[in-house]
Amino acid sequence: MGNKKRIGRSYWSNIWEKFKRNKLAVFGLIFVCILILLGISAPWLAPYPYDEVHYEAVWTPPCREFLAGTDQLGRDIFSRLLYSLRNAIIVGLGAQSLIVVIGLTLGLIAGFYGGKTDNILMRIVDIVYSFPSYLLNIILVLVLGRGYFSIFVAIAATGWAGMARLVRGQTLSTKSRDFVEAARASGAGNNRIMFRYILPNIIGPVIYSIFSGIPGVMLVESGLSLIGLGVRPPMPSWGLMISEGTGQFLYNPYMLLAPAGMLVLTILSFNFVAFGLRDALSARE
Amino acid sequence: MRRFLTIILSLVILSSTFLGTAYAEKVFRWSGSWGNTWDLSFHQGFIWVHMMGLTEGLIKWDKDMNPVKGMAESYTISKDGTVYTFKIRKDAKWSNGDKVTAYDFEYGIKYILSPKNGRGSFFGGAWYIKNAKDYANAVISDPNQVGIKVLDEYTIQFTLDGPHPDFLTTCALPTLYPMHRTSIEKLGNKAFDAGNLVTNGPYKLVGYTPNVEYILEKNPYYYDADKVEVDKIVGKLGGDPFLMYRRNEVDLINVGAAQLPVIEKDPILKKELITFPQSTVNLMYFSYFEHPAFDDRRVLTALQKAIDKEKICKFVYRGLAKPAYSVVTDLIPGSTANDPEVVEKFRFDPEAARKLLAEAGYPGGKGFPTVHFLIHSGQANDPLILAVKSEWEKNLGIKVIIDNYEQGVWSVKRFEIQSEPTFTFSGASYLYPDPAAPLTLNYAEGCLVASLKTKDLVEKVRLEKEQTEALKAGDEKKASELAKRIHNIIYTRSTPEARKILSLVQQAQRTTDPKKRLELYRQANKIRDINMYSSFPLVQPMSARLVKSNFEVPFNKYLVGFPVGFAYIRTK
Amino acid sequence: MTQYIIKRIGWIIFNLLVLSLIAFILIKNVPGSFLELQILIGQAGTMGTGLTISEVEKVRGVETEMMKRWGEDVPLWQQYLTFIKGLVTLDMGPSFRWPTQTIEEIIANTFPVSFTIAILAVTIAIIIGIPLGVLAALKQNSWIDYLVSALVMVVSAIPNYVMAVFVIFLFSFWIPILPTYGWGQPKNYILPVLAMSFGPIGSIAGYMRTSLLDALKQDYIRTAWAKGGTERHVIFGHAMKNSLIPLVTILGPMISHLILGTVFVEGMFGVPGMGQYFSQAAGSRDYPLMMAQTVIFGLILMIMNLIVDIIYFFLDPRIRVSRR
Repeated sequence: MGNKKRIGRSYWSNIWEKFKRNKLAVFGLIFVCILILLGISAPWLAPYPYDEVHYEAVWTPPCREFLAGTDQLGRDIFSRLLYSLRNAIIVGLGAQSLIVVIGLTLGLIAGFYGGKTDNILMRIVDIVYSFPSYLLNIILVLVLGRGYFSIFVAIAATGWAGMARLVRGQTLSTKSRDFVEAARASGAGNNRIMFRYILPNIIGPVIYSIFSGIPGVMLVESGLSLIGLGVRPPMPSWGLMISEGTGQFLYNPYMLLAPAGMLVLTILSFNFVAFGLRDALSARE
Repeated sequence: MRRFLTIILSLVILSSTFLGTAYAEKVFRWSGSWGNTWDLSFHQGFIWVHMMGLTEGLIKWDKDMNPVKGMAESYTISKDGTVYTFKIRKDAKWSNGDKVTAYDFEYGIKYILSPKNGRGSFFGGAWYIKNAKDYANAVISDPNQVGIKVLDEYTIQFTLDGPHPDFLTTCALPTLYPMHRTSIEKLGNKAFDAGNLVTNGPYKLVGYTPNVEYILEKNPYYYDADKVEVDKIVGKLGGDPFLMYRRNEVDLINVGAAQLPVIEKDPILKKELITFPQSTVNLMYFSYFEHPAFDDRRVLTALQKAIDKEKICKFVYRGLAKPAYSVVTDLIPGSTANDPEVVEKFRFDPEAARKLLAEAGYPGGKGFPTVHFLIHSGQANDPLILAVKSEWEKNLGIKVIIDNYEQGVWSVKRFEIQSEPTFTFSGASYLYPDPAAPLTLNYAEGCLVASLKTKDLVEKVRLEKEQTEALKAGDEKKASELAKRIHNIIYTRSTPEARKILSLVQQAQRTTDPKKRLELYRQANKIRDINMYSSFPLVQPMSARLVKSNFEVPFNKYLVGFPVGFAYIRTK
Repeated sequence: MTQYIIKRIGWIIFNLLVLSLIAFILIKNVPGSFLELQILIGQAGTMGTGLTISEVEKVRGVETEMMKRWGEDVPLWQQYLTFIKGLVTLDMGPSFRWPTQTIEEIIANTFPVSFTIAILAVTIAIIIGIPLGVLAALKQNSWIDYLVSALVMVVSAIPNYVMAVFVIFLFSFWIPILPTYGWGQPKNYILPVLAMSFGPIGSIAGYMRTSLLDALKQDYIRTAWAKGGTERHVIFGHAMKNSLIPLVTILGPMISHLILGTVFVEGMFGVPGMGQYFSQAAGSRDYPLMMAQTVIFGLILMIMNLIVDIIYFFLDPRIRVSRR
C-alpha cells in the first residue's frame, strides 16, 4: 500500500513538473482559478443585481459607474457578465460531472469485464456517438423544460459516449499491467481492482478530457441561449448577451465585445490548461 | 495597400453604376416582412405581402387608408345592411391573363375558410358572413351554407349575420381574397410556389428563396398597371437591416430605439427617418389562477397606478411610444384612450398606489403573493416586461418572478391553471380604422369572462377542460350539460358593467346610423376602460422607418407599419 | 474490406432505427403543437385579448381535421411506421411549416448549399491551417511558433456567430467591398465561408502542429535523418505524410458539424441552407421535419465516420491489423 502511494505521488509530481514548465498552461490554470472564484463570488462582487434596470442610463458606453456599459434596459453589463460566468461555470462543471459519472462507470465496466458486456456497452456507445447532439440537445431541453438540470441532462445525454470510449480504452491497456495482476493474485475483488487500482492510473487522461470538454459544454450552452433555450432569462448568459449585442455592433459595439470577449477568454484559459495537461501526460509515456 | 483598396473600390463602384444604368428598372428593396408560405389560408406574414401588392380584394385601400373600389366596379348594400352585392370590373385579370370572375372570389374565400386548408385568420370580415365561422370551425361541413352566392360571372353576393358597416373595409383584408382556381386544382400545393402563383394584384411573385428573399415583378395584366411606378420589389427576410441600409442594399427598414441616437447624429439618416403612430397597444393580462387579492379593485388599480409609463416611454422607448390607458388605441374611432376620466384613474401615482394597496390589506406589499410573469423566449429581450417588474418591485414592494418558456411550451402553459398569480404579455393591433375592429362580439363576450372573479374563472376553465374531454370521449350529453354550466357562470357571475358592454356592442352591431353606432361603441369603450381590470394597457408603440430619399412610401398605421401598398410607392 | 463496409452499413441502418425511435418518442413528448402555435401567430397579428378560451375550445374542432390532414389521427406506433416507410420510399410528405414543400424537396434544395459551404470552409481551413501548423512545428518554441499557436487558439475559441459579425463589419462596412446579404452570386459565398473557416483553421493548424511534432520524434524519422536524408525529404516525404493521417479523423466530424452548425451564419448572410429550416422546425413543432432532420443528420454523421474509417484504412496499414 505504502509503495503504491509513493508511485502515485511521483506520478502526479512528475506530471506537475512537466505542466509547470509550460508557461501558457500555468497562466491558463491561474486564470481558470480566478474565473471560478469570480463566478462563485458573483453575487458579492457584482456592483448591481443582474436584473436591476436603470432607465436613465440605457445604452451607456463603459464608464466609471458602469464598467462595461449598460444594455437596452440600463442593466449593468459588468454584473451580467459575472453572472453569465457563474452560469457558464455551473453548466460546464455540472454537465461535465454528469458526463464523467456516466462515462467513467460504463467505460470502466466495459473495459474491465470485456466480452459480452463490453460488446453491448460499446454498441450503445457507438449509437450515441453517432447521434446529432445539437438537435438532440434542443429536443431534450424542450421535453425537460428549461433549467440548469435539463441543460446538464441534455448535454450529458450525448456527451458521455466520448468519455466512455476513452475510459474503456485506458482500462483495457491498464488491465493487463502487472500491478493489476498482482492485486488480483492477492485476492482483491473486482470493484476494488476497478476503483482502487485501475481508476487512479487512468485518471490523468480523464482529467484532460474533463478540461478539454468544459469549453465545448459552455459553447453548447451559449448556442442554446442564442436560440432561447439556455439558462432562463432574465438570468444572463453569454449566448443571450451575444444575441442581444450582434444587432447593435454598429453603434453599441461593447454590447457584443464584452460577452464575446469573456466567452473567448474563458474558453481559451480552459483550453490552455487542457493543452498543458495533454503535453504533460503524453511526455510521461 | 490603400491605393490597391481604392482601385478595387472604384472598380466596384464603377461596375455597379454601370449595371445601374444598363437596367432602367426601378427596384425597391426592403426588409421587415416575414413568412414561409404564399398560401393565403395559412395565417402568417406573407398574407400581408399579398395585401401590399400580390392579391387585390373587391375593395382596396388608397394611400391614405380609405376604402376604395378594387376588383369591384360597383356595389350595392341592402337596406337592412346585411346583403352586399358586388359587380366585378370587366378588365380585371389574373397575372396569367385569365379573367377574374365571381367564382374566383367564392373559391378563394371558401378555400381560406375551409378547416381542411391551413388555418384561417382570426379577424375581420369573413366572420361576418353568415355561417362562415361555423364552417371554418368545422361545426358545419357544407360550404354551400356559407352566405356567399355567385349571381353571374361578374356578380357576387354576401349575406351577413347582421348589418356590419365595416364589412366593406374588411373586403380589403386577406380573408376575403380571390384565388386562382384552375392553377390550384391543377398544381395543388405547387400552385403557391414562385412562378406558379397566379395573382390579380399589381405585382406577381417571380422568385422566392425561403429564409432569404422574395422578388415581385409588375403584373402587366393589372388594370391600373400604368400607374404602378416601381417595376420590382425585393423583400429580404434576414440579415442585419441597419447594416444593409447603410450599405445601400435595402431602401426601407424598421428601426428601434437602439438606433435612434446614431440616426440623430447623422444628418442624412436623420432626414430619412419617418415616425408615425401605430394602432397597437402592448398590454398584460391575467392568466387563470385563484387569489382574492386580484378580485379587489383597489389592488388592481394600485398595480396599474404603480407603473410609470411616461418614464418607460421616454427612456426605454426613447420617445417611440406613448403611455396607453385603454386597450383600444386613439387611432380607432370611438376610442376613449385620451378620455381625461380614464387617464386620471390609472395615471402613475406611486403614493396613491401604495395607499390603495395598504387599504386592501397589503401595506408596503407585505403579505402580497409573489406575482409571476409568464413569458416566452421571443419576449426575453422585451424591455417593457422587465420595466413593469422593476416598477412594481420598486413602487409597491411586491415580488415578481419572470418565468420564461420556449414559445411552443408557453402556448400550452398559458392556458393552464396557475397556482400563483400570473400575468402574460401581448400586443393588440387593430387592422382597420373602425370602432368595430376592436369591439367584436367575440371580444364583448370575452369581456364577460374577463370580469369574472378569479375563482369563477378557474372554475370555468376547469369545466371547459372537462367538456373537451367529454367531447373527445364522445359523451355529447355530458358535454352539452357542461356547456350549460359554463354559460351559466359567464352570464350570472360576470359584472353588470361587462354585460352592459355586451349589450351595447350587440346594439351597435344592429345599428346602421353611423353617428349612433359610433356613440354606442364609444360608451362601450369607456365602460370597459374604467371598469375592466383583467388586462392592463401599457404603452402604444410608434413605428420608426428609414426610407431612402429617392422613394416616397405611404405607410399603414393599422398594420404593424407596413407600406400601404407597393403600387403607391413613388420614386423621386 | 467489402465485408467490413457491408457490416458497417448494417450497423448504420440499425443505429438509424434506434435514433429515429428515440427521436420519435422524445419529439412526441415535447409540449405544444403546430396548431397551437398557428393559433398563437394568428392571434399575435391581430387581437391580443379577442381570442378567449372558449374560442380556442371551438377551434379545437378543427384539430381533428388538421390531425387527419397530417396523419396524426392514428396510434403512435402507426405514425412511427408511416415515418419509417416514408424514409425508405423517400416520400415523407409535406412539412407543417412549409406546406408547399415536401421534406425531400427541402433537403434536396438545402443540402447542396450547406454541403458546398462546409466543404469550401474546410478546404480553406486546410489550405491555411496545414502550412501554419507545419510552420509552427518546424520552428517549435520560437516566436513564430508562439504567435501562430496563440493566433490559432484565439480564432478557434471564437464561435462562428461572433466571427460572422466581425467579418461582416470588416469586409462590408469598414472596407465595403462585399455584400452583406444575399445569395446566388459567387461573391455571396465569401463572407459565410470565411466566417465558418476560422474555427477549422484553428483546429487543423493545432492538430497539424502536434502530430508533426509527434512524427518528428518517431524512430523512422530518426532513421531517415541518420540515412542522411535532406530536410525537405525527411520532413515532407516522411513526417508530413504520416502526420496527415490523424488529421483525416477530425475532418469527418468537422464537415458534418459545419453542415448543420451554421444556423446563425445562414441567417446573417442569407444563405438558403439546412440550418435555418432545421432550427425553425423545433420551434414551430414541425414534427415531420424534426424527425427527418434528426435522422438525416445522424446519417450524415455516420456516413462521414464511415468514409473517414475507409480512408484511414487505406492510408495507414497498421490499422488493418488492429481493427477487428
